[in-house]
Amino acid sequence: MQTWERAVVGTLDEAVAEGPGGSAAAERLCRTCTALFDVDGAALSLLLSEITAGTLAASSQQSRDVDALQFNTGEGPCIDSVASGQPVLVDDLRHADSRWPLFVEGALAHGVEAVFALPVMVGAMNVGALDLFRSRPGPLTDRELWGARRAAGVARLPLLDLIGRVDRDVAGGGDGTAHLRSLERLEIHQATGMVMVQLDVDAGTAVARLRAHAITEGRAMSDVAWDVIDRRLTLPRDGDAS
Amino acid sequence: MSSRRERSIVEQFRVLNEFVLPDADPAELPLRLVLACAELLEGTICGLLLADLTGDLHVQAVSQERRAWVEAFELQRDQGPCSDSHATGDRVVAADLAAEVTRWPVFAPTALDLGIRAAHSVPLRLNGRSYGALGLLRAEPGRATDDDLQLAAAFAHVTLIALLAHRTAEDQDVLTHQLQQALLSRIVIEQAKGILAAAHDLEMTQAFRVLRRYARDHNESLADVARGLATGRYRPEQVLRHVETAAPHELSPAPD
Repeated sequence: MQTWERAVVGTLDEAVAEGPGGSAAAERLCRTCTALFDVDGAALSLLLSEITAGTLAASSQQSRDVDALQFNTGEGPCIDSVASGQPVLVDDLRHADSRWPLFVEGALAHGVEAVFALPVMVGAMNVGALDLFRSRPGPLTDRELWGARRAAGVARLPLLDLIGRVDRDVAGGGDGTAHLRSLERLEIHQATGMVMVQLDVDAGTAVARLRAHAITEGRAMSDVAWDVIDRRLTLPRDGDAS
Repeated sequence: MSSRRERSIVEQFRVLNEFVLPDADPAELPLRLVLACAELLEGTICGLLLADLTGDLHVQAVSQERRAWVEAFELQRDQGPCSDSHATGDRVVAADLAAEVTRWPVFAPTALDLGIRAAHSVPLRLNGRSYGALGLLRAEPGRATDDDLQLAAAFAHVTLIALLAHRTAEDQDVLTHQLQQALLSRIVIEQAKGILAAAHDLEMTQAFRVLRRYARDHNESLADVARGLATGRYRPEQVLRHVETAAPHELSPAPD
C-alpha cells in the first residue's frame, strides 16, 4: 500500500472509531470524506427496507437535503446502488435526468452536479449507501474511487450501531477498527446464519446483534461468534441485546 | 515420487480443472483447492485467502474448520506468510515460527500458541498481479520442500484460472469483478451453513454437504441455494428434507 492509501485508511478508521458511535460517527465520516476527496459534500443513508430508509448523517445541511431528496422522490443513485450492490457513479447529473427526473431536478437546484453512490454491505446484504456530492461535473479519480470504497467499508460501523440499537456513547471507542476487521471473518458469517434462524432476522440485523452483544459484554466479536457456533451462546430473542 | 502419489496428483488436477468448464460451480473451488492440497501435503492444513477490490484479504476456505486453524488464517489477512506473499508476489517459507517473532510480532506468537510451528505460502498471481495467497500450516517445524511448494503453486494457479474462467475478458476490472463475486458467494454460503446448522442442529461440514447435495440435485449453484436460504426463498426444512430422503449419507458426521 502506498503512503497516500495508508494515510486514507488510517484517517477513515479514526473517523468512525474514535469518539461516540452511531450518527455521530457517521457525521465524522462524512466530513472526513469531504476533506480527503475532492468532493463538496457527503451523506450516509440507511436502506434496510422501504420503510427503514433515510439519511443518517451528512457533512452539511445542503448534503443532507440533497440526500434526503432521494427518499422523498423514491429515486436516485443511492437507491440504485443499494439495489444493485454496485457503485453508481454519475459524473454529470445533467445527463441523468431521464433516469431520475425528480431527483436530478432537485439536486441541480441545490447546486449539485455530480453524485457518486457507494453501497455499504454487511453480511452480503446492502444496508445503505455513502453518497459523495460535487458542485461541478467530472469523474472521481481511480484513487478517489478506491478511497470511497474504503469509506463505504468503514461506514458499516455507524450503520451497525443504528441497526443494533447500540448506545451511541458505548459504540465506537477503541475496538471500532477491530470490529471492522472482524466483520469479514469466516466465523462471523457462520454465526450470522445461525443468529438469522435463532432470532428470525435478516443478515444485516444478525451481524448488528452479534456486534451489539460483543460491545455490551466487552468481548471480541470473533469470541462471541465461536460461542454461537459451538452452542455455548444463544443471543436473547427480544430486541434488547444486553 | 511414488506412483500412488502421482496418481493422486493427477486426479486432483483433473478435479480442479473441471471447474474451468462453463457449467461448473466456482463457489466450490476454494474448498476443493484446500482439500486437494491438504490431501497431498501430509500433515499440512491449507487455507485460501482472496483479495477484494480494495486489496484486503479474506479467508475463503480452510481444509479443516477447527477454530485454531481458522484463526491462524484469519490473522494472516493482516500479517504472516499469506499477507507477505500477497503483497510481494513471492513464496514465503517459515520453517520455525519461534524464530519469526520479530518478523511477525502478532502472527508468530499467536500461531505458536495455537500449536502451529511452520507456516508457508504461495501467491495467487496472474499477469504480474496478485489476487491472494494459498497458505500452508504445520504443527511440526520444518521447511516445505520445493516439490511441495511447486505443487501448491500449481494448484493455486489452476484454481485462479478456473475462478476467472467464468468470464473470458482480459479486462482487469472484469477479472477483479469476478473475484468479487466469488468473495460474495463465500459469505452467503457460510451464512447458509449457519442457517442449516442452527435450524437442524448440524455441524458446519454436514451443513455444507446438505447445501451441496440440494444444489446438485436441483441443478442450482451453491451460491443460489445459499442466497435462497438467506433471503427466506428456501426454508431450511425443505432443503434438509430433500437430503434426508435422497441422500441420508450426507448427514453422517464423518468428515468430508
